[in-house]
Order: sequence, then C-alpha cells, then structure tokens
Amino acid sequence: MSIETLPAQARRAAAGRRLWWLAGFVLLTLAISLLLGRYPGPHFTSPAFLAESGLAQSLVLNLRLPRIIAAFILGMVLAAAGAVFQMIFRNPLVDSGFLGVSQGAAFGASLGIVMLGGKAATIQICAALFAFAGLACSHFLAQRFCFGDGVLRLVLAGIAVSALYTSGTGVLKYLADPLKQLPDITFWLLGGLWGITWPDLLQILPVVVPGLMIIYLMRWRLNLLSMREETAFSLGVAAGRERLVLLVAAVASTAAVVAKAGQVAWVGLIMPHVARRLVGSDAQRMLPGAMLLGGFFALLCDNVARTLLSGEIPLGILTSFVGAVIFLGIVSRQRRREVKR
Amino acid sequence: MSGKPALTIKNLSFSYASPARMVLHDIWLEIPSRAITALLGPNGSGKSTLIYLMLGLLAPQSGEILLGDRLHSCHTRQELSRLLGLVPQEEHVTFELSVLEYVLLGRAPYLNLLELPGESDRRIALQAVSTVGLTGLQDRPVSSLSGGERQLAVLARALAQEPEILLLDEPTSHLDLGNTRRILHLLRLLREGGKTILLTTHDPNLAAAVADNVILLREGRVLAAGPICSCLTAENLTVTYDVEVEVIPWRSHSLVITY
Repeated sequence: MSIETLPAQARRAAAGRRLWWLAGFVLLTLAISLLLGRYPGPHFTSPAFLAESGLAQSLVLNLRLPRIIAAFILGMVLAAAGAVFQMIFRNPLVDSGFLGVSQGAAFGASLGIVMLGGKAATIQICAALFAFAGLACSHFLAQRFCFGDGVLRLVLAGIAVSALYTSGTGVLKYLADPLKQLPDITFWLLGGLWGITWPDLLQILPVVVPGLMIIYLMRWRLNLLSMREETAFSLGVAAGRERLVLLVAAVASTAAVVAKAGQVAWVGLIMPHVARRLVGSDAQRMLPGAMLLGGFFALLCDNVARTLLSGEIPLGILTSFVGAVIFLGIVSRQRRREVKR
Repeated sequence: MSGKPALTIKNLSFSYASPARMVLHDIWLEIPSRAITALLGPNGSGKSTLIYLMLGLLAPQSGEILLGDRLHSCHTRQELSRLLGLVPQEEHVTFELSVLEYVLLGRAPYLNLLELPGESDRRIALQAVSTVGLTGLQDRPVSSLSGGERQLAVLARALAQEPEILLLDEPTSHLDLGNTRRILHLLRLLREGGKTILLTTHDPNLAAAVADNVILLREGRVLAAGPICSCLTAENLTVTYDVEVEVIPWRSHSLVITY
C-alpha cells in the first residue's frame, strides 16, 4: 500500500515501522554479505568453513568487512547527498552531480593520473580537492550573477562549472597515454571498491561521520529549504547559511567517498525517490529511509560486482543499470497514478 | 487612521537596481492593529515590493519600518517570523508533503536548527488546519489540492506561526467566487480574533468588501490612505487606475464600477 493513502497517524506509524524493518533488513544483508565472495569457491563461503579456516577468517575480516562497510557508507552518503541536493534545489531530478561536484572529482582524478604520477593517494586527494573546488566555484559564481533567486543562480553556475570541468577532463583524456593512463582514467570513471582496506575506511570516516550527522540532524530543515525563498524567509530560515552548511556537509562526504570509489552514478538520484514511495516525502523520515536504501542498494550492487564473475565488474556500471531500470519503473508508475487522478 | 499602529513606515524609498528607477518613493504609512488594511493599486505599482520590505526580505535604501515601537532592523529574523506571517501570491510545494506536514512548517520560528516539531507543534498545526476548514484533507498531498484549498493550506501554515500580523500578497487573485468568499470570511474571523491583516489587491471591490482601511498606491507613491469610507472615492480610484470609475453605496459597502 502506498504511504500517501494512509491517514496521518497511521501514516506516521507505518513509516516508522517501515524504517525499522528496513534497518533490520539492511543488518541482515550486511551479515550475509560477509559470506559472499569467491573464496574458497565462487559465490558463497559456508559458516562452517569460516569457523574452521584461519585464512578464510582473515580474508573476511581484512578484505570483505572493510569493503562491505565501505559499500554501505558509499550508498548512504550518495543517497543523503542526493536527497539534500533535490530538496535544496527544489528539483527531484538532481543529485551530487550538480554544482560541478562529480565532474570536479572526475577532473581531479584524471589530473592525478595524467600529470601527477597516478598514485592512489594522489588521485584521491585531487578528486576530493577538485570536487570541493567545483562547489566553491559554483557558489562564488552564483554570487556574481545579478538575476533570479539564489537557487536558480546556483544551478546555472553549477551547469557552467560542470561544463568547464568536463571539457578539462576531455583535454586530459586526449593528452593521456592511450595504453596506460587512459585505461586508468576510464576504470576510475566506472567506479568500484576493489582496493578498499581498513586504513582507507579510517581515512574517510572523519569526514563522512560528521557530514552525515549534520545532514541527519538538520533533516526537517530540508522541508523548509525546499520552499520558495520568500516563504522560507518568512519562517525565520536563514536559507543561504543553512543551505551552505548542508551543501558543504553533502559535498565533503561525497568527495571523501568518491575519491576512494570513483564515479558511482544513480544512487543519489534514485534512492530518495524510492524512500518517498516507502515512507513519504517529509524529510524527517525520507532522509533516513534514503540513507538506508542507498546503503542497501550499493551493498547489493557491490556484492554482485565482486562475486558474480571471476573478474571485478565496475560498480558504477551496475548501479547505473539497476538505477536506470528503477527510475523507469518509478516514472511509469507516476504517470499511471496521474492518469488515474 | 484610528488605533495604535502595528506597523509604521517612515520616509521609505526603494529601488531594485539603479537608484534612477525607484520602485517606491518616500512612503509614510501607519498600519493600524487588529484591523484589515488593503494595499490597493494597479499591477506594477509596488504593492508586493512593499510587502517584502515589511517582511524584511528586501532592505530599503532609505527610511525606516517600525513594528510596534521597535525598529524592524532591531528584531532578529526569528523574532520577525513570530510577528509576521506571509501568504505569498504563489506557493509551490515541490515534494508531496501532506497538508499537515506542510502546515507544520509554520512552527519553524519556534524550533531551533536541530529540533523536530513535537506534539504541541502538531496540536497547533491541527488547530490551524481546522481554523481554515481543511480538517478532512489534512492527509492529502498539498500538490493534489484545488487552487482554493491550496490557498487555505498556505493560510493555515501562516497561522501555525501564530503571528500578530498577517501579510497576504494577492490572496484571491487565482480563486473563483466561492473560494474568494471563503478566504474573505476567514480574514474577518481572524481580525475579530485580534490579528492585524494587510493584504495587497488590484481589485477595489475586494478591498471594499473586506478591509477597514485602504492604502492607494500608484507608481510607487501613496495617493491616499485611511478608512475605506473616506479614501475609496471615485476621484481617488480614477487617479489610481487612470480610468473613469464610479463608486455606488451598496448595503454597508461600496461598489466600484468602471465602463
């Protein structure tokens, strides 16, 4: 039953129950994911074998566990950032690819590969720096424009900055060594978590945990920020300042995870929509719903990416494929509902 | 105008960009408390700009605005949002918030940055929903409401703010007669409940039907301000709208006719 057809109190209670169910389901998936992999045989490690084999235990603890946690965090961050972007820009079709953030990260990673030696740490730092520079440039440019409201100015500035970064990435691809550097760029752009270790995870947590905390604690304010400027102002909202705090939290978290995982598309766009169908549009419940769903979705896709074939399937390919199918499903259902109405 | 003013404007001038194109010139006004005041004028006369200046969304180039006895600029934004509620000309709710979830946004002035609305906020929001007569629709998405119902939801959201002064920007411009009547009836009830109401309109008949006082605005200047009976005259309206107008007494109101 769609959440929108229930009366208020039942609706709140149903949304709360659904969130708890979702959380339980995610925990179960996290546990099962530990048993999925390609050791000792393809697809599944039996608990009995795990209890006996020291090598299997070490593999699960040192390789699978950090990767599973990283996939979950990646999904949570992308979905939370997507929800923030959609509500702040009052546009259900945007995600953190807006404001030059993803394009900045792609440019930074390509620059790291082509110009700065291509070490993993260099790529990650460059990706994070340029993702942030994307936000900073968009914000700075938006303030220079003399028309439209704050949201329109930011969107236009974001489009311009994204285009500049995309052309810069094009130049770097053109300059890259076609045998060594170009495949590296392409693989980074496809996204994946194959190299994640505990130290990698510990590097992103100091950024991601406070970022997600800020977004989670300010989640009801997202409803206010999704109103027009004059309404938000009349409700005492310092829209510019609050928007900036949430954007910095979202972009910093995104930059941290994207720097490790590369481009993982569609999670941020789709998961807030699925969450709205499941627990309603009020960000007080939609945001935790989107975070759980994003984590769950990225984890499932990463399980397939590392388990299905003997070689790794790039995560970005899977999230794009499944995300696009879900998107088509949502859009066609929406149309049917509107026709019925 | 009689009564202690809720809002006083002194020597206010405003332009959006170049000072050569002033939108409002040297405005002096007093908005009496616990009364309905209509800000009347043709399209582009500066009515909405004046509303947004009162709200604090725009800052005047010169002059001052007083809320009661205190300067507007001495209030924090949170204080202002507890004093002034806005019903904008158009409200766009992008995501499918229910009426109750939307009206709850009106509690924002009473919550800090990290606070969620509690049971008392919910009670006040439900009361506001009931005041505007939308109780049966409280769970429907705002986006699925008719134009009239949506305007009532916006009014309920402003009422949930519990403001002393309600600013309404063209509250009935998109509504049919039935819904216009509902809104006007509500405004009268709110005035009786002690609210100060300022609404903008380009329709003199609407002002005549609901307002106690009127301010006539043309090209950013106040042509006349005062009680309806003395200000809403054929001469004043003819100058304001630049068309021949006749004002006919009808029951306890006036009827404005143009040919």
